This record gives sequence, C-alpha cells and structure tokens, in this order.
Amino acid sequence: MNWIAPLSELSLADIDRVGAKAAHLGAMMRAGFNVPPGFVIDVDAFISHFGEVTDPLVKPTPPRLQAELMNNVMQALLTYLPDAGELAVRSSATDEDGQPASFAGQHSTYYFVTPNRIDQAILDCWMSLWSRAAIAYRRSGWVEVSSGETPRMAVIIQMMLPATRSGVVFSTDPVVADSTDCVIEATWGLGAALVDGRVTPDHVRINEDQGLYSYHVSDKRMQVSVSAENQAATRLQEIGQDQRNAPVLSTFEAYQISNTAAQLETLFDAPQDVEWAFVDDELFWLQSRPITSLAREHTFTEPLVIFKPLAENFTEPLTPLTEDLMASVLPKIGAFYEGRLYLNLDKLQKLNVFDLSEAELVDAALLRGLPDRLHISWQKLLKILPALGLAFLFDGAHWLRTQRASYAALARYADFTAAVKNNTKLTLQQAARQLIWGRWPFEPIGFRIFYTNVSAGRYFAYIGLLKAFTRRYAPDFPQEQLSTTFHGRGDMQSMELLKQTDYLSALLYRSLEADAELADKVAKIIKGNASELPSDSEFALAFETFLQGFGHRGPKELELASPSWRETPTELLKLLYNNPPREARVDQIHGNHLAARDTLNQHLKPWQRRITSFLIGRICHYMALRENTRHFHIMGFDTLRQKVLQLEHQLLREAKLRVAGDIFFLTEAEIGDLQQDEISATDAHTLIRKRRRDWQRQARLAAPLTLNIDRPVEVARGDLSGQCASPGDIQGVARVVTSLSEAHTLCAGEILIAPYTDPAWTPLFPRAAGVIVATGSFLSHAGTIARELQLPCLVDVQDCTRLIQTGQKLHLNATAGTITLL
Amino acid sequence: MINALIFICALPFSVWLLANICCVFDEPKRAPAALRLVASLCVLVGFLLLTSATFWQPIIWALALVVVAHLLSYYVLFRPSLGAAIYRQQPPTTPLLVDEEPEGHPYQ
Repeated sequence: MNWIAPLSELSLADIDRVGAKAAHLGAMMRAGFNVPPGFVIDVDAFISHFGEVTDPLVKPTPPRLQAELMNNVMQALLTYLPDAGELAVRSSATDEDGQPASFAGQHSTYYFVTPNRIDQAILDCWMSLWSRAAIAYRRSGWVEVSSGETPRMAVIIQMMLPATRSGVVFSTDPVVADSTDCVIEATWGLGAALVDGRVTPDHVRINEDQGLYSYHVSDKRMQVSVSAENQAATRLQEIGQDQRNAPVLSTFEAYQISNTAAQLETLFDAPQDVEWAFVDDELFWLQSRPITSLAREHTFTEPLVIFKPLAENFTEPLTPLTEDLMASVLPKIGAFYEGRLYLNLDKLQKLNVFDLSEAELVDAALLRGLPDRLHISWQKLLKILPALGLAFLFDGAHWLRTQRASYAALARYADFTAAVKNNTKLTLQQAARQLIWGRWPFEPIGFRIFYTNVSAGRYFAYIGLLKAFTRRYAPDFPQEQLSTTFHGRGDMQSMELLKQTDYLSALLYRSLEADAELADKVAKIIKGNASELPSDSEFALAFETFLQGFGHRGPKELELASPSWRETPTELLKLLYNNPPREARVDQIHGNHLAARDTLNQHLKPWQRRITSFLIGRICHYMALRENTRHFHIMGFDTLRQKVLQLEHQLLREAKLRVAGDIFFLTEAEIGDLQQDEISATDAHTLIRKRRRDWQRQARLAAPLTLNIDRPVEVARGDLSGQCASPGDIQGVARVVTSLSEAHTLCAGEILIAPYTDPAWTPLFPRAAGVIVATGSFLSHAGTIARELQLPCLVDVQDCTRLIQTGQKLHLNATAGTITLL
Repeated sequence: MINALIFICALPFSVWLLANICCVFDEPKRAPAALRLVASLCVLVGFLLLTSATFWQPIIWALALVVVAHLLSYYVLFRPSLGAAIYRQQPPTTPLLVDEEPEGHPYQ
C-alpha cells in the first residue's frame, strides 16, 4: 500500500479517498491556482491504523504508526517537498467541509512542524477526529451520526508558508441577504489569529457596480508571527503601533483576491469561502469550500423585539461575560440572544394600555414612534390600573425622589463606586447588582443610578403633553420648532464633554504651535513610539484633569471588554488631534432655544405660558437627568471592568489564562471554576477559542430586530429613510465614517454617515452639517447630541453606510425622515 | 368603613412622606429637602389635630405598609434568582476556517 497522493494529481472525484479539503486543493492546483505544494495521506492509511470506525462518539486508543507509512511519508517528503524546512499538517476528514456540516474548527491543523516530528503530528491530526469539540459537534445533532457514513480522515502535508499577510475571502457576502458583494478580511501574519477571533481584521467590500467601495481598516492588535526568533515560544505577538492601524492590502491586491475568488466560484460552481495568504508579494491559496448557510435556527418560541437603547450603542454583540453579568441583574423582561438583548413582546403587550396592533407595538418597542392618534383601551387600562397603583405603593417614593434629583445628588455615585471597587469580598455578580440597584433600600438616590436613569424616561410623557397642548392652544406655532424649546440649554454632561474636548483641542493646537518638544512627543505618541506627555506642559495637566472627570467614558461603554479613555489615552489624544479648533456654537444654540421659547410664549395667554413653562421645565429636568445618570452609570460599568481586570491579572499571573482579554469570553461561574482549578487552563482555553469564534460569527451578522414575530420589521434595502431624531432640512456632501479611526476625514460642513455613535463620537458632531446613523432611535446618543446642537439627524437608516458613498450630494430632510441622493 | 377610606387615602400620602424623608439624605444641601419634609409632617399633624387624632391608626398602618412594600420591592429586584434568559445558538455550519492552532508548537 502506498497511501500517498500528491495534491497536484487530485480532483473533486477523489473526495471519498482524500476528503473534501484535499480534493478542493487538488482541483485548484490542476486549474492553475497558486497552492502551496504538498501531498496527502489518504483514508486507507487511516483505516489501516484504526479499522472501520463503528462509533464516532467513542475515542479509540491511539495506534502505533506503521513503519510502511512512515517510509512512504519520508519518500514523499523527498519527492514533493524536498526544500521544505517546516510543514503544515492539516486534517481532511471525509465528513468535513461538506453539506450540511462543515466541522470547521473541530479537527486540528498543525503549523511549523519539522520533518523529524511529523509522525506525532499525523497521529494527533487523526486523533482530532475524536477531539472533544468534534464529539460535541456530532452529539449536538448538527451532523447525522447514524447515517451509516462513518467518518475517516486523510492528512494533508504541505509546505509551511511564511505568510506576511493572510485572510479570508467570501466570493459572495454570506451575511447580507441578496448581496453580491465580495467580502475580504485581511490581517498581518498568519490567518490563525484572525480565524480564532483574536484579531479584528480589515474588512473590504467589492462589487461589480461600484468596485472597491468600502475598506474598513481595523485596529489589529495581534498577529501570529512567522519570524524565526519566535519559533520556540508562542507566536502570538503584539503588532507595532505603525502597523496596527495600517491597511493590510493595496487596492490592486484586493482586486487580485476578489477576481481570483470569482474564478474559484466559477470553478466549483458555487459561492466560495477561501483562505489566502501573501508571502511578500506572492499570493497563495490555502483552502476553498462552498459558503455554507448562516441561517439562524433557534428553539425558543418567545416573541422578541431587540432592546434598542442597548443595540444602538454599538453593532457588535456583547461578550459572554458582559452578557452573563447583565442577565444576572436584569429582570425577566426579555432574553439575550446571540449577545443581544431582546424584550418579550407578550410582556410588553400586558403593559400596553393603548389600542395598538402587534405591528404598531413592535414599532413602538423599536422606538420608531407611535401612531399620530392614540386611543386608550379602557378595558386594558382598568386591568392595568391596579397594577400601576401597586407599583406606586411599592416603589413610588423612589419615583417621586427623582423629581428634584440634582447633579450634585448623582455625583455621589462616584464615592459609591469607589466603595464597591475596594470591597474585595464582592463577587462580580454582587458588585454588578450593587452598582445597578444599590446596596440597601432607601439609600441616597445617587446610589441607584440605573433605576433613576430608567425612571427619567418619563420626559416622553411630558413631551406628548406639550405637543398636545401647543396643538390645541398655539396651532400657529410650527411644531418642528417645538423641540428647540426644550433643547439647547447645555445642562447635560454630554454637552460638557463636548465643551471640554473642544477646549482641549484648542489648547492642544495652541500648545503644538508654541512648544516644539510637546509637538514632537504628541507625534510620537500618535505613532505609538511614546506613551507619556511631558508632565509639566499646560496641555498635559488639562488632559489629566479631563481624564479625572471623563476618563471612565469612551467607545462601546456598555461593553465590559471595551477599554475606557483612562486606559487608552492615546485614542483620546488622537481624537483631539484630529479635531481642529472651530468656532463655538454653544451660545448661538442657547440663543435659538430662548428665541423659540419666546416665539411660543407669543402664541399663548399668561395661564397657558405657565403650563408650557412647567412642562418644558419638567422635560428639561428629566432629559438632563437621563443623560447625566448615564454619565454616572457608565462609571459603574467602568468599576466592574476594573474588578474583572484585577481577576484577569491574577489568572494571567497563574498562567490560567493566556492572553489579556480572554476573561471576557468566560462566564462568572467559569471564572470561579478556573480559580478553584475545577476546570483546567487547557479546557478554559479551548472554550475561550470557541467563544471568540462564535462572537466573531455573531458580529458578522446584523442583529435581527425581531424574533418569532410573524411580521418582520425590516426596512427594504435601498430605501433611504429613517426616524427623525432631530429636525432640519439641509443639502450637503456625505462623508461615510465607519469607525473612529476615520474620524479625521470628516470635514466641516459635511453630512456624517455612521453605523452608530457613542460619546467617543461626540467631538465629530459640531463639525458635521447633519448626521445619518444606521441604528439608533430618538433616545440614542446621536439624537440627543444632534438635538442639543440643533443639527438635522436621521437615525435607524438601515445599511446607510453601504448605500451612501463619501462625496455624494444629499438632500437630508430629517423632519420628513427622508434622504435624497442628488 | 371610614377607617378603610382613610387608610386608602393615606397610602399615596405615605409614599409622598417617605419620599420626602429620603430626599433629606439624597442631596448634599439638605435644607430645601428638610423644609419639604417639615411641610408634609405639618399636613399630617394638621390632619390629626383637625380630627382629634381619631384616625391615627389607619395612617400609621398605611405608613407601615408603604415602608414594608418598598423594602419588599427592593429585595424582589435584588433577589439572586433575578436574571434574563440567555439563548446561545450554534448554527448548523459556519463559514469561518477555524482549524488552526496558533499557539504551542510541540512539533519543532
């Protein structure tokens, strides 16, 4: 028996003999694609060593490798890979990469194998057929184990490529329905860091009509290195600052990959999912397989609607630890599905006192507004009134206390978070509970900051009353100006944040002109070659003061895995550096607010003015309360993160975790088990890798807005409309900014098009003439800031970052909720 | 009957009174909250004086009930079993090529 077949002689007809992966590689080589040379040990060798597998769920005893096989392998190495110093040993199982199961990630591949250790690598590759992950995969029911097809494994041995750049290309977007885009993901070094989720790759989209229309450069912190000095130790390395945010591919290379992916799609007659790698400038193809379905399947039947206030803060799913801690402290009003929080529509229906259809209720839950005319259902009201009475009896005191809660009362939360942080006896869950709900009943209101935040949402009711009142008594007053009567007072922390970042930007630019040493240091910090500002400079002092007040804020601040500005001051410095000083508009905005109130008053009689004045006062109070409590409850999240980092530091020191950030992919119970040695570091590592992959898969998918609801609430593709978050009507040029790393590209007077926004985006707003956001609602950050700055803002414009391109002229009519491409 | 009516009317009053008591400890500046508390106590005392303290019992019961209800609601929110469900679904297949072993190289 020979058992050896060179890759160059294989075709798809050999799938049963060498597995799908090897057969595809052979077909690619025969068609002329640049595939690293190698050979395959076929499934007959496997059968000769293991016999026929009778139960794929029971792991056999590893056999001794037969001398005949090793002789043949050594001969093949001399024949097909005479110059290969290191090898890649890859699985190619007969039930892998097929329909309906891919077994991706369940079988092993080994890199950097030297020829003298190849026997062990072959044996380990075979044994990975019974890896815990593969058995769990079979047991999960995703693959039929009783079909009579027993799994077997061939082993591919190829030259190890010293890849400098690598990634994946999907010849057709597997995530967005009906899309014909080719999607490329690219990172530095080997693709392993990309595929197990440790690196967020660059994301490139190319289509026939627009060519390369989107290149999103990610912050790539790690790479799997191929440098010789790292061979003995772990190859996972930090990437230098100059490379982290640099694009991996040139435009030409992106087209080269895209075109070849299209050719592979033709060759295999199906959309392909292809792995590629560059060795310097030479492009190699490592694997190709059909894109398998990404259809979501779930077994629960609850009708769920996404919880917009959380979903609009960032588009990625929550990490498992954040999800676990949030789930443990939130009431059972919904459920987490794939890292996103959903509300249960049945429970919302019970609280609804209006005559709303299910579709209208879904729209309301998605914060897309209510019908113009609301009819109270007296039957429902009679049912719910006793419940409301009881709610008042059980928690009315807290409700009433928020009527006068001042900023000083809320600021006491800072002391509270310090106490929680210093209490080392608290578990993460206990700390989360205390930070969200407080420690004891009747504590100062500032300690129950999250609850205060939620109760402040009642300003909606006051806005409804004000609208109804002005419609009745001031019919001539333009309703689109009504929001100016209660926005623009500048008493929110977000506006204070904006003022402070503007001040810091101006100071930075002034200091850079006057102080050559500071300019040099700032340039070095931004390039990643230095970390600390000269401590005696005026700017450094002001920067430090800012971090004391706002250091707990930053991007994705409801996600525990996301570092705050205090932890990553360089990111804040970049933001300031890319935010040239501009004329302050705050006074003008406040003037507009006062003018609108005067105009409204002119339409009203004195007693009516008193009522509107009261209503506007309440709206302003509760809006500021909501925004300011957010400023503080983010402080609670930051405190919780610090506690998680303390735990992580300890686990890294004890070598129970391998890489910073891994802890966010375990649940609290699993972290406890790891501390107590009830699960091994190896098992934890396996689990973390799987969770990282799952998280990446979830992050690729747009979160469904509804689940188990007959009428899906999706905006049709190509329909450029959205929800008005701040009224206005302008024409201008679009600037698509998909991440903060592109923030500096926004020029004054352009219309900002963004996937989402959070406080870290705030400094961009005054530069924009208008704002269009793919997610969000009236309550979202984009809406709040835009209203304060009196900028037209449209939110919930699905897919806007794809449908609108930088440089396009737009007519944004936020009041009507429409965008017209000019 | 009148006692039951007084008891029911005293319930919202008790919530208001409890809120005013708590408000004193909410703000760093306590004088305005203390004034509001005094005002609400004056209402209570005034009512009792006007009715020759005949109805003190239902008012005390209402106050006690409101305090207990608030304690209860706090512990209901805080109880350990609180928690939204988490659904994690494994898709039938995944498009990622994830068969790599980036760390630990025992074959060198």
